[in-house]
Amino acid sequence: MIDKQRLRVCMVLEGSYPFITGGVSAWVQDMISGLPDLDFCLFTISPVGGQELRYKLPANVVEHLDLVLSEKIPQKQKHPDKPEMLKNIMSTHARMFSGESPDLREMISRIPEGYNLHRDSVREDTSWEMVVETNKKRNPIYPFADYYWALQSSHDMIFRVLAARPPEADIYHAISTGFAGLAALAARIRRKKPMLLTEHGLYHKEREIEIRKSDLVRGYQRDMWIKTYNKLSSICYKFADRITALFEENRQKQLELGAPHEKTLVIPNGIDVERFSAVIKEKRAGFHIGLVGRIVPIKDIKTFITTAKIILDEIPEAIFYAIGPTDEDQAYYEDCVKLVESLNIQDRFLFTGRQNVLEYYSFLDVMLLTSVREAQPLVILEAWTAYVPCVCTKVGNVPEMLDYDDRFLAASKDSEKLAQGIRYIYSHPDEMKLINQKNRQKVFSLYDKKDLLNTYRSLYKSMLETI
Amino acid sequence: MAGIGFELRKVFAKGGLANVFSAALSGILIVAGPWILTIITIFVIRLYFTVFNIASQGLFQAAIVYSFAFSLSLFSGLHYLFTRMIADLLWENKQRQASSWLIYYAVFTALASAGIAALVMFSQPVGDVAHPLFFRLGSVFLFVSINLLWLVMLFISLLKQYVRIMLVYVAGMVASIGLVVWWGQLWGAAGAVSGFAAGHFLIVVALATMSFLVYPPRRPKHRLKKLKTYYQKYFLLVLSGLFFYCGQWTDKIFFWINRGTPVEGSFFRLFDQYDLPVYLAGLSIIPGLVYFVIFCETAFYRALNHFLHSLLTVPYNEIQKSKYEMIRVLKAEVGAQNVFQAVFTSLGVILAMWLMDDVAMRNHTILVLGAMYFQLLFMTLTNFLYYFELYRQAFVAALIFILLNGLVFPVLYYFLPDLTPGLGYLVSAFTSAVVTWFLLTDAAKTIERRIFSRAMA
Repeated sequence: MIDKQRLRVCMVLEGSYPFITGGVSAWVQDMISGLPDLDFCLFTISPVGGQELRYKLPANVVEHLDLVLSEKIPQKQKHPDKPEMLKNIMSTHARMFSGESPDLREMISRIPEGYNLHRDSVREDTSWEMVVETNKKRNPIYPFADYYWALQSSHDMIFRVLAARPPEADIYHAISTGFAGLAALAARIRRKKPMLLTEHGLYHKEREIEIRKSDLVRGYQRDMWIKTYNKLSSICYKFADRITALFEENRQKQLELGAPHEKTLVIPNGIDVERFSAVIKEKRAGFHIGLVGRIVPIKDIKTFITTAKIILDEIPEAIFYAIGPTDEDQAYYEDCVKLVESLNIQDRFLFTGRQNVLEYYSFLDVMLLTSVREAQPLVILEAWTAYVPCVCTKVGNVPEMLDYDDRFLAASKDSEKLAQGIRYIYSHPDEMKLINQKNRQKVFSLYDKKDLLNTYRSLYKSMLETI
Repeated sequence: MAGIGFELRKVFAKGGLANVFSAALSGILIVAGPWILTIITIFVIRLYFTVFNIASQGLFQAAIVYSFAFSLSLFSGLHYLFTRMIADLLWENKQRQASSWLIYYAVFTALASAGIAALVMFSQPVGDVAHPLFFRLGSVFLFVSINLLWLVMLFISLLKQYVRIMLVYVAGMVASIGLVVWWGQLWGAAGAVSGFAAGHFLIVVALATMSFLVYPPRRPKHRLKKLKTYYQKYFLLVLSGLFFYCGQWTDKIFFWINRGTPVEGSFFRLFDQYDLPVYLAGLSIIPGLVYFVIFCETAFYRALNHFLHSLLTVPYNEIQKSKYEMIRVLKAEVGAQNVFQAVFTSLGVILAMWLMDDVAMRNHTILVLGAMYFQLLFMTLTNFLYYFELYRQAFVAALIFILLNGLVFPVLYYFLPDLTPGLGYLVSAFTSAVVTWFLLTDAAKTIERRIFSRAMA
């Protein structure tokens, strides 16, 4: 039963909360828990069903709908005017690829909710003709199969999302572009409710990096997937009522891809400063360096390990902690363990697993961030609030957060430079006290979660008024 | 059977009279082994019964005819499912699991066929036959053996040991005839039926042993689930097989009931005036069947393989080229097979006109020769539909066949007693072959789309 008195926000998510831990998920959890006066429903898009929840859903989460992309849906519905619908889809597709920005409203409104469009897309003559025609234009010399699989698999997901039945809500808040953004966009058109788009990283850029690294995606498929993700982002920008970015650089990139200037704004991350500032520092014997994050390739734990080896050769009393869940990518974790053993530093390097980070912030001397990709990492803010200085790779908004201070910044995978930053902190304790104080002040004034929550609360309300 | 076809084709390619004869004979035995075995045995034994004046010759013959007719009508759907499953396991290189499935299907077939045959043989009169209990048991044994033989036959193409297979058949035929003669002398029709069954059973045991020695069975996982999945997925294939063979026999069964006479006081009824032409005409299409296995199917299989490979590896215009080449091969091979078979069918017609004095039987024979000609074409085209996995089309064609030959014409025969037997069969086979041709050539034009969309769905 929907409580009409309370504002209901539908968070539309893909590959994150509540199934995967990480910065975005933590942000969502904080948002929902921090806005108890609002109701939230979750509309998640998952590759497979039955994933375990990694977060305890707050009491104000009133509904959770998981759209599983790999699930086959039987075709039960008969479409009243299938030829017209397919014709419209084909013409929208053609316009999209000719560089125009077609209006998706008509197309989406022609697709009934829950309709299995995938079946039509592979069985109907019109769809096949479209595949053959576009293949002739875009893929005349490479194997047709590559084109077909890429087109069908990407469009299968797109059709699943477009035809999905979204939960009822007053506002649809997508936490990325891509399929989550598309689902929110479809919900916006179907339910005639406003859509807010928040981007932590830039979805299309992140996907592009993954695609370029992947051996599985080859030939035409590579270009097609990249184009598809770019197109999805630009469509989301076009249809969203408001678009937020965590920092200015990302906002500029959104504008480059067609986001209307007047719709965009920057709302930085925020943390519970009271919680982290309550950490009581204790000096422990030795020199303690931690990395807070999941043990996954994107965090580049291997660079953390090689940095540890460099430091241990010079500062034997140093101890390293990889603080975070190890079960997300078991193979990678095992690789990391082997690397630690092969470097013979297992006595000084610990994988703690999931822990209460506050306990570690109380005695850490340095927080290291070796990620190859980040947006605006919350762990830096947390560490600063607890007087822990950070040495980081230059990813996302990190250089700006660190005021481009080169002493504490390194290029991705540059263990030597990271070690240099740690050495600086080790050998300049007095100066670091001042820097820590300054960093803490920065968090208090710019990254307080209370400000973040109030901004979003106001934004939700203002969007409701404008629709 | 494309596998064994390629082996035989290699022998053919070597040239020389001996090789050509060997390949042709092997082809005949493999594609029509049980059938030939039966027809030859029946004729030999008819002669023997007549010469030695042994009683109950009709009962012996009826038991064999009924066993063949009903084994195909009742179990052909199962055979199609089995063939599909074995083909998939071969593709996955799981020959040993295929061996296991042979055992499961054989056990099921043996139990089901024994149950059905026992129910009929122990509830119906068998006339004044000597040793009636032995005759009933022998008939049940025969029905089981024939059913098992069909199943093992489907499996042996795995082995590619055509010389051994041929030897097993020849030995089986000799053993069968020997046992019929020996036991027939001792126990009359009961002994002859049991001897005939034992001969068949020996072939089953020998072929199964050969299979298991080459591929020792390995127990597959989730058997029931897999069987259920296959049944659901290939339901139309099962129905098409069932309708094809039921359709082939329904007019004969109708004539047994409507125009036939009881055999020696038993529940069996036969209609010699139509049955005999059917058996004789059946022999006429053996050359066509052999041609199909050795030339038509293998040439098509090569073209199909080339086309399937092109689907994954080349641009769209190249796919189109290989598709139209495959269609060209298909048409050319079907055309050549038709011409080849037409020679033998014409020869059959000339022989019938020359040798048959009985006008009615001669007319029946000529009509059935024509019907068999088109049924061979119908079967050939249906096989290509199966290669393309066009089960719906195969089902439609088989449905037309059974509706015409099993329903429309029996009704016409009932109300028009002067209508010549065989005419319905000819019209049904012709119509089904024509429909199948159109369904096949039409679907083949868009086959790449069908394959892609099937894979995606």
